Amino acid sequence: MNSKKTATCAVLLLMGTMAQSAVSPVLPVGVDAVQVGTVQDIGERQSLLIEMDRLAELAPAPADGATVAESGQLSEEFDGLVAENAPTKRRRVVKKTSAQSSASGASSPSAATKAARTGDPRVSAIKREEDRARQAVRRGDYPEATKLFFNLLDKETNPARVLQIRFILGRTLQEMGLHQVSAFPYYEIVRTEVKKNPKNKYVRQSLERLTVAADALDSDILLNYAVRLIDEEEFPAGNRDMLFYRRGEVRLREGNYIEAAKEFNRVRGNSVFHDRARYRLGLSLVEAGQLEKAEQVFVATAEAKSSTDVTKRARVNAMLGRARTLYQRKLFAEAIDAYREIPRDTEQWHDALFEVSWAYLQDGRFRSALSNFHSLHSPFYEEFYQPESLLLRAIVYHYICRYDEMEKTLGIFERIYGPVQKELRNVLGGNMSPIALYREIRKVDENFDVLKKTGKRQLAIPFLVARQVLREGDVRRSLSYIRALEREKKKIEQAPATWRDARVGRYAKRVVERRMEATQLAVGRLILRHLTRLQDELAGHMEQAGLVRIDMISGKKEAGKKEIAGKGTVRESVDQEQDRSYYVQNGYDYWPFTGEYWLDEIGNYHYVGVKACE
Amino acid sequence: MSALKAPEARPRFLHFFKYRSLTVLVSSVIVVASLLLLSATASAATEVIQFPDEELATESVLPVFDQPVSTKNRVVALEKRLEFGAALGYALTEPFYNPISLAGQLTYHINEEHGINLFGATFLQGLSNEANQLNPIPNSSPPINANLQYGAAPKYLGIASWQYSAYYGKLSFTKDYVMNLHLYGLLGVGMYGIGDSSNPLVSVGLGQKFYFTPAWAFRFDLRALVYQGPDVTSIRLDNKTSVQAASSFDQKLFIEGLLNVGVSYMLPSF
Repeated sequence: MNSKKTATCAVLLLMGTMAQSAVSPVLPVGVDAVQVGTVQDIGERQSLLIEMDRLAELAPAPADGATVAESGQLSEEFDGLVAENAPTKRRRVVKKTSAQSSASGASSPSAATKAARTGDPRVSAIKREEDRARQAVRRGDYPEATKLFFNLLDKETNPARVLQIRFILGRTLQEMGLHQVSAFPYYEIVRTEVKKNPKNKYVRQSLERLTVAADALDSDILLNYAVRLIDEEEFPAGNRDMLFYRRGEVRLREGNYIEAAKEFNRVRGNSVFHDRARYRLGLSLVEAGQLEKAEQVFVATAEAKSSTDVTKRARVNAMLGRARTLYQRKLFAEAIDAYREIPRDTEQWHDALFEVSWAYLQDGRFRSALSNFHSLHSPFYEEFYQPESLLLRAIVYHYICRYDEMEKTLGIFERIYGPVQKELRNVLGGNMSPIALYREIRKVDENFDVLKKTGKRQLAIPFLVARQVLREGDVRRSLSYIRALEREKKKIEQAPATWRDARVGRYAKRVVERRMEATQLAVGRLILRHLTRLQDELAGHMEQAGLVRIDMISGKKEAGKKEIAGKGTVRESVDQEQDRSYYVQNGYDYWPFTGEYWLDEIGNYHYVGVKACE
Repeated sequence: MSALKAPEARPRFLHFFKYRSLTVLVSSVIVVASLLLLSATASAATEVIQFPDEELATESVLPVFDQPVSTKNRVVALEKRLEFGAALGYALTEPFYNPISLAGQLTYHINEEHGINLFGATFLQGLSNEANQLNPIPNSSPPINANLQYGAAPKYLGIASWQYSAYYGKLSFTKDYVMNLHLYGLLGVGMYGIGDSSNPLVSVGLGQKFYFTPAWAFRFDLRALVYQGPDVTSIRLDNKTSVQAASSFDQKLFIEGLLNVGVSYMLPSF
């Protein structure tokens, strides 16, 4: 009777504390510290206690089909054992809930206890195994516990208990840090129960756990699955920001921009997801065509963060978002100002440098655009894929009738991207399998610096293109998921041999390996799609380059004619009258460009060439 | 194309920034002559042409790259290049003998930073002005000649050094003229021929090159030579009539300074 009281109370903690303990690794300290243990959570635990008391009435199905053994106790005890291993705060909750549940336990001795006394050998075996599992959890020996729970799944025939054991197995696996493996029992619960019994608490909790696992793994598939089915009212209040954010992402990917914006807007200010959510809220509004609102969101986000580090990612992303929105609104002068505000010592600055060149062109500021191109086409960016900007530069030279420079630029374009196009054609025409493509890209990702220096020729995919593909958000995210799976596989390999060779160990390995294979294939296909797109774009650029070259020849001819006619094409290519004293007196260093590029000069070049025609 | 950079508003971290300002300070005196020569090419233009003010640099922090490199496409690249040099040397701490030497050097640059430098110098013979004034020693009566010409005089110097080109920089003297620089350290061993003896030495040095073309440069080396050699003041020479063997003098530890000023030429890389 005494053990029954303890077990019943512990169930409350299982639902509350286990949820916290598994969630806490994916949420930064501070957020869950505030949110854990709210009145709402405690209330939820109490209601769960009542539910678990009811579950205690369930028992393993005996050989003859009668209800015999203790039931519900398994998860209750597990909860209690975890609580005993947990910090003092958790133990206090256990005591409190124990006191509450002991009353109910005392008043109604369970049928399971009675059943246990019947002496059914199968039930006794299950009971023994449960005891061992409990002790394993008490010791914090989760590998042993998972082994036992995994075996219990086969032995147990009572569907309610199977559900329960499956859930507990998922939890213990999560305690081992095996999020992907744990996702499968949860998924199984949801899959089997969601239609016939959607209100089942294990379905709800499994979805919740699935979301946590997906968040830890950064897995789109799991997220999409869980987020679609989950009922936010039943989701723990402390983690709802994650749910809103992830749901917003799903909606954004679906193209449901307004709904996405609504979800992102629900993420609270003190959440770790807040910064990202605000940025994505702006993006959703842009996609929805509400550019003014989007700009307001970006401005507010950037300003909110301006008191902290000026190079903070969230702030700079918001600034870039604002500049892009202004560009999209065709407010080019304002967009230029916004782009120029982006701090130089941030990753986003490179994108801003390129994008502002477009804004300069749209605003008719050719000299400024050419100044930027000088930075963009410096050797510092030699690993960047930017055929468009080279072509653009040639076009600007065409505007100012600088045909020599134009020819040089077109020459560079053809010299760099001609072979790239050829290699790309070979790759796509050679029927490389998606897995081979994935391996190739992964090789670049892992050995970027080495390959950059020596091994570019060892790659089937042109290095520039591989780098560009690696910058794609979906590829990056998928690679991050694969890396999480690899870490999980490593954990499995480093687990004790007894666990590895046990059925659960083999199962875990199989799960992770299959997931990896499937994801690698999916990423390979993604890469193939990107390569095809890049090839199509490059073909377009090549075609444009050809047209620009024809224009150049015709322009040169015209210029020659004018010169012969004495109508005077300007011969000087550089403004010789320029005086540097103005800048020097104002505290600037002035350096004529002599062919070498200095890191601190990138972004500070000014074109001093002159227009060669009216 | 030119580059305008903002005045420093935030601390800079890469070494070449420090170097640039340091270089300006250290070398300003040394290169006055070059300045005068080169200023002839300065533009006489006075017209003020402004770039849009809003496009002038407002921050002096650096863009972020995976592996930041201070310079790309260096005008003066050292890797796998052979450098020849000729110089005039001046022994800064030589009191008795002619301090002038003629030197030649050969440097092979393994990469942009490391190189092997072979240095050889032959000293002009004769006494220094001060030593000449000691024949006879002033106020000696009867007149006594110090006869330092019979002591062991420096004859040659050979040093093999590891050269570490730590800093690469540039200076702009005029609107259109930029001079590149290298500041390097030297650490080597060699032999110092004094009189009829050869004395091993250890050398530590610092040098600077000012490139007036990508291949030609003014080269300034300052080396400290540490060696055990004959001390010409350890015996009386006034009663000697011929050059004394180095072994007749006591041995003493010397630390001497040697300044070399010359030009160097770099062959293309191979």
